[in-house]
Amino acid sequence: MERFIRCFAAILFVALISGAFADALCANSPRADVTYRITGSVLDSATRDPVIGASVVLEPVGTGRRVGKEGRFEFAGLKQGKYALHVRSVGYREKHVEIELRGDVQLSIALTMQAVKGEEIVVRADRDAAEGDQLSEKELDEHRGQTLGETLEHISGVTVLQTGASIAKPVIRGLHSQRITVLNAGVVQEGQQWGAEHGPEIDPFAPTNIEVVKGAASVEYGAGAMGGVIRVVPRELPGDAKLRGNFAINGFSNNRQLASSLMLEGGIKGFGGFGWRGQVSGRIAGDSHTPDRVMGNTAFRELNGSLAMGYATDRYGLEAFASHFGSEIGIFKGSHVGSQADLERVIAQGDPSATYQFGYEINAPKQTVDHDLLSLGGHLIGAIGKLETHLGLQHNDRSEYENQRDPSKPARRSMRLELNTNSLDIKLTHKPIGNMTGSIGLNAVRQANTGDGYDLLIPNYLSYAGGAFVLEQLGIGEDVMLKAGARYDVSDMQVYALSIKEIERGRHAFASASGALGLAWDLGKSWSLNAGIATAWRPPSINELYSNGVHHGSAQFEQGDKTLTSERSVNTDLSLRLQTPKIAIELAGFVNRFDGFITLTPQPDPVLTISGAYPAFKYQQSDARLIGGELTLQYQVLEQLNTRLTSSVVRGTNTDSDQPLFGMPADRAELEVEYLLPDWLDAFQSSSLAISTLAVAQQNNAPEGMDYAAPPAGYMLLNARISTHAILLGQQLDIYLQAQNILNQRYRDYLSRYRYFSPDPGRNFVLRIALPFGNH
Amino acid sequence: MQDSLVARFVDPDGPSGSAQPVITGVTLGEGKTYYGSIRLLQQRTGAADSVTEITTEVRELGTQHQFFYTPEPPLNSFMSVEVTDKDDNGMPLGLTFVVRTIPKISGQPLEGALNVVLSHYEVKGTKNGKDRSNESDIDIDFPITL
Repeated sequence: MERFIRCFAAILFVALISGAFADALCANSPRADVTYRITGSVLDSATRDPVIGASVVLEPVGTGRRVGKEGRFEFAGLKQGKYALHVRSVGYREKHVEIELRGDVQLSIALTMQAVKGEEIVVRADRDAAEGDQLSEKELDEHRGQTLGETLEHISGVTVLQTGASIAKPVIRGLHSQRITVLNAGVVQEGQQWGAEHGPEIDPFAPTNIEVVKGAASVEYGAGAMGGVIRVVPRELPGDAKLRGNFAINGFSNNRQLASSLMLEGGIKGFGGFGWRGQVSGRIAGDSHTPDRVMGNTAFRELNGSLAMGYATDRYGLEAFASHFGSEIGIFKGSHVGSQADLERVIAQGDPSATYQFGYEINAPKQTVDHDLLSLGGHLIGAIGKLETHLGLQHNDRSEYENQRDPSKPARRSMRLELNTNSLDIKLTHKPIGNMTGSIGLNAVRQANTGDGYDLLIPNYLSYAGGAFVLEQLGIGEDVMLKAGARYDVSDMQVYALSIKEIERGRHAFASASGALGLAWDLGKSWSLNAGIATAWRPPSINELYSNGVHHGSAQFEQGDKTLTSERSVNTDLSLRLQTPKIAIELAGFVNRFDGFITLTPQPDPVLTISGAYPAFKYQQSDARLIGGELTLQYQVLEQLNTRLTSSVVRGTNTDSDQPLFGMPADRAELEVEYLLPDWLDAFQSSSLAISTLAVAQQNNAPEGMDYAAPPAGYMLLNARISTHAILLGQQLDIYLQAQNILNQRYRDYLSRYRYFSPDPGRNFVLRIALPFGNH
Repeated sequence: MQDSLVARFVDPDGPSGSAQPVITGVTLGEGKTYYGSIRLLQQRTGAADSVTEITTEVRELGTQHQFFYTPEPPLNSFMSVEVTDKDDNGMPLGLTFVVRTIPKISGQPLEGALNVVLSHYEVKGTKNGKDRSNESDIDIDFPITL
């Protein structure tokens, strides 16, 4: 009895104390119907001035505010709980704040101007990573080790112009090659991109963020960004001395490919603000397999390396980035036909008659490419704003080896092209003036091309180009952001064309203005609208001016026209977005009108060579129009079940002849269902299983008289992937297993350069294992 | 004393140049037999001008090459060509050949063409003596008058 009373007293005592505690807590903790607010200000960390126009997004609510003149924002009517604030502004580093809301909260958020990176202004500042124009961390890791083109294929509006498994050129809204710009580490990638078989020379393993800007972007990026820009931005260097790294190894079953990379990064003890990163990667692949046969001589090899170093304080920074890309690529033996008669016979047969054995050997015909890049940058933050300068040096060395008559003799080099490009960019991003932020800049480029060999496609040339631009953003009220930009460019090219024994000199000079107007409007209730109209231009490229020869693999004789003038376009763009935690929708449409669009046009008389008659094509200019759109839907059906649908269409028309443009991507849609698997045994976390299907229609809009074969039939592919982040024996392991074209579907893509000769590769299993170390 | 007829194909600046090739044909007599051969030459201009006899290369790699001589209509009714040499595997090669013509119906000169194709067989075993490959190194129509 006594024991019972003691227990009871003890319980009562505990209950009273707990009750007291509970009451004390309850005094601060809200009841269900009480709401709170989060207010705050966003300031520049260096000057303490308000950052006008900064976007503040509150998760998981999903609503956003735009900071006004005072630099203030407010969210009201919030219940207690966990929240996260994402604060972004043009030219500043993003900031995330976690809040445990139990009462009214006041915050002061300091934003730092972008340091260490010589990054350009992302003009559409309020874009979210999940909207599909930027690949998220997760998506990037899933595709690490694939070519740039293949990685971007999953962004709506982006397709790939493919020559085998190793050459994949990105196509944005129907435009590619010299109509889009690829930026690597702040430098415009220059590597004979006019060639349909010349893929961008970018290390697939480099730790980078990749962003796609769709549409005309000439104001910011200069001549050539008519269809869009792909920005490959190396990730920020570490700011501390801790040694971190990542070792990755990938295996691909279709061509028995092994790829690997090792990355190390860190700093120097006692030297805060300094960071470095070194990376080396390589790939070795054998011949590709179609569902029926081996594609002879489609093996390839690659060895890349890069080194980056940077030092930054709050006021200034310096950075150096050096990279080497080296590859040797076999060109499908079955694609090397002699004359038009041969090509027609091959198309009639449908598949190469010869049977090839699988191997890793690379014989002629083949290409070798070496690309070296050095990028030096510096920035200084002062009272006026931020001044950035960037120097780029690039050397691209490309050789082509033609088909060998005698395989016992070494392969004969038919062509070697060396391209040296030096560029200088200076940009001043001024501190906000009232509600306005923006920048002015200058660019200068010098490019020299020298060639060697008996089958030169293009002559030697020396070109200079320069441009100046101004780009401003104005915040109007809380919900609207206006953007306006203007630019003026000049370019001058001196050509030295060798004709039998004489040198023919040519000079091509162009100048042009471009402009852009844009609107970003937060419509409320998580809807936003982006609209823009922009002009773009480019001078005719060297192959369009001076081509005079048979294009291998296409049995076409291509003739340039020295009298071509520059291409100009006006692009109108509209997109509507909904972004909530459960649903995301993006509906985008564009109309891109061209004046002087340069394209190959069939000529009446064939050209005779020793290997037969070839249909002749000449580069001609006409008016053209590209019109299209994309629809992306993401829906979180259940907490663990996500679905995603992306689709895109493009229609290109030569408005002078009223014929469709050649080589436009066919309509396509991709549907993916992802299931988040529960953690297993504490060792396997963040696991997911996804199944997706890609449907591509037949390209029914193809011009007459331009193709040897009708566009191939549409097709559907089934893909799946499973991924997990495991922690085994204290080491983190990211594992991805993918199955592409699971059903081993036999198909030909309209944009594959091999489609006359062979179906596309069949089933492919991909295993990726990444070992991050040093606690990423 | 035997007559010698030469048909020529000359492309002064190669396949990539803008100059069109010059093809000269021959006139053949009716009811005659001609013994023919073909020569392939490559001329390089530059620091050191040179002329290379490609015919020897083709002869050495005879198992990977074959010449096809095809008279085109309307000549095919009055003219035939037969390859006389063989490669190391005993299959026809075509560096030498025999041309036979038969009398025409009318007395008027008949104009047509002789198609000459050099097929390259990349993969061993694909040359069977009868079929052309998909890689024609040479494909020329020589004008022939009968």
